[in-house]
Amino acid sequence: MTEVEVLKIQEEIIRDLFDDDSIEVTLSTNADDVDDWDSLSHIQLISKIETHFKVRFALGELQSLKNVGDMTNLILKKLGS
Amino acid sequence: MQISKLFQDRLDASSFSLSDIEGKLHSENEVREKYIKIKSYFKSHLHPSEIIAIKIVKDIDYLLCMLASMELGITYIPMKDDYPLNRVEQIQKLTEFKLLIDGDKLNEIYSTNHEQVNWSPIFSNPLYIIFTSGSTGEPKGVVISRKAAANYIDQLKLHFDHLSSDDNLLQITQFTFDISLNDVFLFLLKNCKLYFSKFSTDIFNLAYEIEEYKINFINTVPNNLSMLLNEHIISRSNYSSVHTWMIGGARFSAGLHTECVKHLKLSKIYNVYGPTECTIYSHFKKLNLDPTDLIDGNVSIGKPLENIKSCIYESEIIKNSFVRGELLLGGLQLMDEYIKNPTKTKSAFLEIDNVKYYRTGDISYQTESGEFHIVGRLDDTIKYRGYRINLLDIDSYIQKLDYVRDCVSIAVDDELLENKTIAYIILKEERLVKEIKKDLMSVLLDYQIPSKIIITQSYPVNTSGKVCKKTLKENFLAKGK
Repeated sequence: MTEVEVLKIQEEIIRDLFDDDSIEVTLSTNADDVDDWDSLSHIQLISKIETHFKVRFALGELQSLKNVGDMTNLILKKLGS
Repeated sequence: MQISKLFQDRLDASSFSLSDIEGKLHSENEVREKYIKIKSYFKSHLHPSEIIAIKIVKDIDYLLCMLASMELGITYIPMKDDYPLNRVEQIQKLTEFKLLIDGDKLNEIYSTNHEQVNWSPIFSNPLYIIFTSGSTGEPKGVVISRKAAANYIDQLKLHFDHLSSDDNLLQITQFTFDISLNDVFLFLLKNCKLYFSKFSTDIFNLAYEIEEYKINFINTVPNNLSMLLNEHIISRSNYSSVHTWMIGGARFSAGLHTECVKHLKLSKIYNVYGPTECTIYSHFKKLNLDPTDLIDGNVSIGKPLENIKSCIYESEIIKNSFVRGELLLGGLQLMDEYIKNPTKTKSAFLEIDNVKYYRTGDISYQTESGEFHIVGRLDDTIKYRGYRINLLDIDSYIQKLDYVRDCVSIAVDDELLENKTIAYIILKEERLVKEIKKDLMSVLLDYQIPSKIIITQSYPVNTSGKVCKKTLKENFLAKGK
């Protein structure tokens, strides 16, 4: 799977989670860029990403994420891409 | 415990045990050198009666500035490093603080030598002034004396006697929130190691820090504990190092109690309560983690601390158990005043039978065993992430924006997140929500910015013509947002 594909899937997940098809997700997108992206929705987002990609993140991996780009790299690493 | 004695004991201890979040242990010499420079600067640039404000990132330097102030008898005002300019100016106007310690000032303090001067501390000075939300767009500066703080420190010593120098503490809360002083005082009392958390909203970060630094004592708000016990967090976390949780600053819900019984049965968990005006906390309740902690789904806040008098008031003091009224607090931990606000200070207190009480605005009752339960609020004040927010305060700030005609804020209760603030705004000119939020960042603190902004054309009103917040709330919930 490519970076672009992973990014696209995350965009769909985020749009669905926040019920807003106008959200545009880039590699630099983070919680500050999306209304209602708070602690609880962050947990839900991680859970949805794990479910979709069938991966599991350790705490140490999650605590260092700064934006969607970091998450994209992590997903690709988990998928062995 | 006099605060000056607390310092003398601590400074005689063999080392300062402070680590930053990266785990680098600051050397004892490095910390002492910084501390000496800060104190020298204060002594050579201030008169003992003058006030300082601290506006830097929450880390070891902030703590050292606070400790130096405490030791020298200087009143300090904690600020966050990202406070907007108008907030700083409001506080300056009220307190006339002499020295603002920001990044540049800190560099100056550390990079220059300062002349040695004699110093005669004024220990009758307040210990700190902390600002809380008002209802008119003006913040209120709560003035806390050293005597009030000393009583609280004695209570901490009594209730957390089981802590030792082997324990690791995590400074989670910003220093602008008075509950942060629990970690500072315990660090001083017990010679614990103190780590600085980088956590703000990413709970994975907090869970990671607890495990990584083997934290033994956690002092935080119910919302954070709720998040930590969320199935997606706890399933990959390990809190076995934490033997004591001190949870306060907001309501401890029945749902959270259930989660604690399920996951933290082996730990000591304290539900603690108290307004800033009564020096951090006034009530401690060590939970039994069984149904005896609750009445009608409401978790007990326990009994008042020593030298604090609690009573229930409804035009007179109510002595009967289970009868509701406003919770009043008297005793040694009361604030001196709201600085330069005699009107608000006067209305905050009530004198009954020559005893001065602070009006908490919380609706409460007392049980036969002398424990208290909080069941609601009298006014528009809510708690969000532990911070006090007055909805009218938010409205008045938003209404100051040129393009806003009117604003009405409501709070929507959430079992996990306590409260979400929703601001309904009627505009004079078209603006995007994103633009409004950006403008609000220059007049509101981060926790005051509404979770959601809804642009509307009108408000539902009741038969008296007043905006019906109840209908706004019902409509919001009905839309399922």
